[in-house]
Amino acid sequence: MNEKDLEQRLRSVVDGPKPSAPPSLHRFLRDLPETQADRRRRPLGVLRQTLGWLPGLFSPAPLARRVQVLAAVSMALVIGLAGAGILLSMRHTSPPPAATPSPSTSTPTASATPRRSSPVSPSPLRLTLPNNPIWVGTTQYGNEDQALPVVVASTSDGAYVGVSAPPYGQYGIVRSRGGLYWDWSPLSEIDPKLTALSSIASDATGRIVVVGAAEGVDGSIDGRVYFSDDGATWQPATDQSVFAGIVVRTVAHGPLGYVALGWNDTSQVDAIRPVTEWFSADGLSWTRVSGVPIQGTYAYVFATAWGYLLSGSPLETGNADQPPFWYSPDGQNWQRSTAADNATQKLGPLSCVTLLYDGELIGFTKPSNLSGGSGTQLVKSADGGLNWNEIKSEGLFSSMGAPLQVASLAASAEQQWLVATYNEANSRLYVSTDGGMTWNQAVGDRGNPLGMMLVELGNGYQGTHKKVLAFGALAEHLGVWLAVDQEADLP
Amino acid sequence: MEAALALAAPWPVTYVELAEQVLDDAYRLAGYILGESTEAEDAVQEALTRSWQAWPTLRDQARFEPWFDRILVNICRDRLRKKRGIRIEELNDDLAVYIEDPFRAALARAEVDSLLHVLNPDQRIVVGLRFWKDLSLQQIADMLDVPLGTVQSRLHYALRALREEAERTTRANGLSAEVRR
Repeated sequence: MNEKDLEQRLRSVVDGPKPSAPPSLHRFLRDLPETQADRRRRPLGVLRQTLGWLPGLFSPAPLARRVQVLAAVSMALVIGLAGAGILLSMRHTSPPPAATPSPSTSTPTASATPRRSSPVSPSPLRLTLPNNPIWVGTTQYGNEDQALPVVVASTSDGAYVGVSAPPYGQYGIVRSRGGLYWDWSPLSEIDPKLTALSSIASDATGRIVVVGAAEGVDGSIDGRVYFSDDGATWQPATDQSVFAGIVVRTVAHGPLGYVALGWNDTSQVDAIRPVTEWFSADGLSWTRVSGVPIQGTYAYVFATAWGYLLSGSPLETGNADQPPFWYSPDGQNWQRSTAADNATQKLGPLSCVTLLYDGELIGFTKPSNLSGGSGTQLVKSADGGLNWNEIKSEGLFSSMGAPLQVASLAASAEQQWLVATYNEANSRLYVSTDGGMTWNQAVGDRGNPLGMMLVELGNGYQGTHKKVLAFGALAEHLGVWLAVDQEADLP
Repeated sequence: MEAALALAAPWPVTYVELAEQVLDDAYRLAGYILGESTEAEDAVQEALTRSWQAWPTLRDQARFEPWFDRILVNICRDRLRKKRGIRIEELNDDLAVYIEDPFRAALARAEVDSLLHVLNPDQRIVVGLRFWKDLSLQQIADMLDVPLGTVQSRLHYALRALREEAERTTRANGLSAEVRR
């Protein structure tokens, strides 16, 4: 056979029918959550579209004239968007009720009812958006130091320490005294070999734990955990070898200590990606916990006043009718939660949870079929997370068109629930004052708040006195708005 | 002028929209390189996951397809390397497998399925990109981030190995026919 014949033979491989990607791949693709980068790009796209029709920009006018028009329109848009923020102001009219959890009213409890151990009440909340958003880092477009806190914890002296991560700037540590002005520091401040930080948690003593990944000695990626008692000086956990080879992704602090979860990106298929759990009573010494019941892409751990909640794709098949949530009083032994009969659809993983003033928990599930779920749903638990009921919400899911995702959730003492939502078309804040039955857009018709995430300070179990709403792109800039409770002074 | 041109740029599209556009081509490329549909499906799914995670780092959406293909090809290379250490018992009589799997069928139809095992993963990828993706040698070099000479060399040795294997197979078949006779 000569070379020409061989090449002819090789080319003929593609001469026949052209196979198309199977439906499973299309489904997999469509089930991927909208990326943060997509959401970040959208406001810029809106700006472009808005400006695009202006003839002044594309006419053969002199360049200087077009730049002037561009600058003027941009300024007008920025001012308009900033002004729209004023609308989000919710004032309470009555003093907060006593911090006594109400009796369970909706769900029969299972045999292993979680113990309620003196929950810390969430602070009453009044949302006040300043007229002019205060930017994190600098406001210069393209400045790589610009960074948004994506997770935040409180220090013992009332300051805030957060983690910044792409696409909201570079990985790093952000700090603020009052929540309004933030400073950013690179990862090298903690450890020169640190390559990423992904989560942060603090305990009642003010100790802060951050988790992430660092370059290993042989070029591999190892998980890393560091702790600090002041948010400024950091020390590694005593035995980092327990995190070898696994990136630590998320951490939460509950009644008995810290729970961290980790997994690697290198696993190829969601269904076989293992999730590893570690536990630490003090944030200093960690042990690996066996028997974590989840796997796959989604893995969440939440702390409540009574224990811990875990959510993700079930490791074991079966029990498809049960939600992919687990409850643990100690963070190490997990019990599958149950859903009441009114949960008409299979529930996806819990993506956010908050504690209500009356001691109940509410949360939103992810719209994912990776773990059997099929849509975003609002769920509520009256027993610490062991049993859940679905809440039928009007106006939140039905009016948005494209599948809705909830980025974050907060609740005030006056039973005002606030969610930051996003889908293919919009990112918005919604408020409910009737226990999640109906929802109203917080910023109404006066402008899209461009909300991308809601970073809560001192939410629920870790209750302090202030909260921060952190939003992604406003034009090219990253922005943070502050919300304070009624007792707190504006910084 | 630059400001106006920048504003006239296409409306930014989402990751899912861009990935949908390249999905079929990516599946075919992985299928021909890896030789079977289940492997292709796994590879593309992994590429979707990786590219979805890395999407914020892609600054030029117009470069999505080569960027995605590069991720996919790297995944295919890893899979081929792992596969090399595994002995696969070929079930030559099981025609149903060939009929059901479009990529096996296509390779069998072109009578190259029994030859490709002589190629190492890098050679197989170059062959796939050249003959099944119809890329130029320079495009392949750009995608793989290797010098043009490296691509030429890999392709040269790949074709030579395939020719030798084809001749060896022909001789072996002739010999076995003689023995049976």
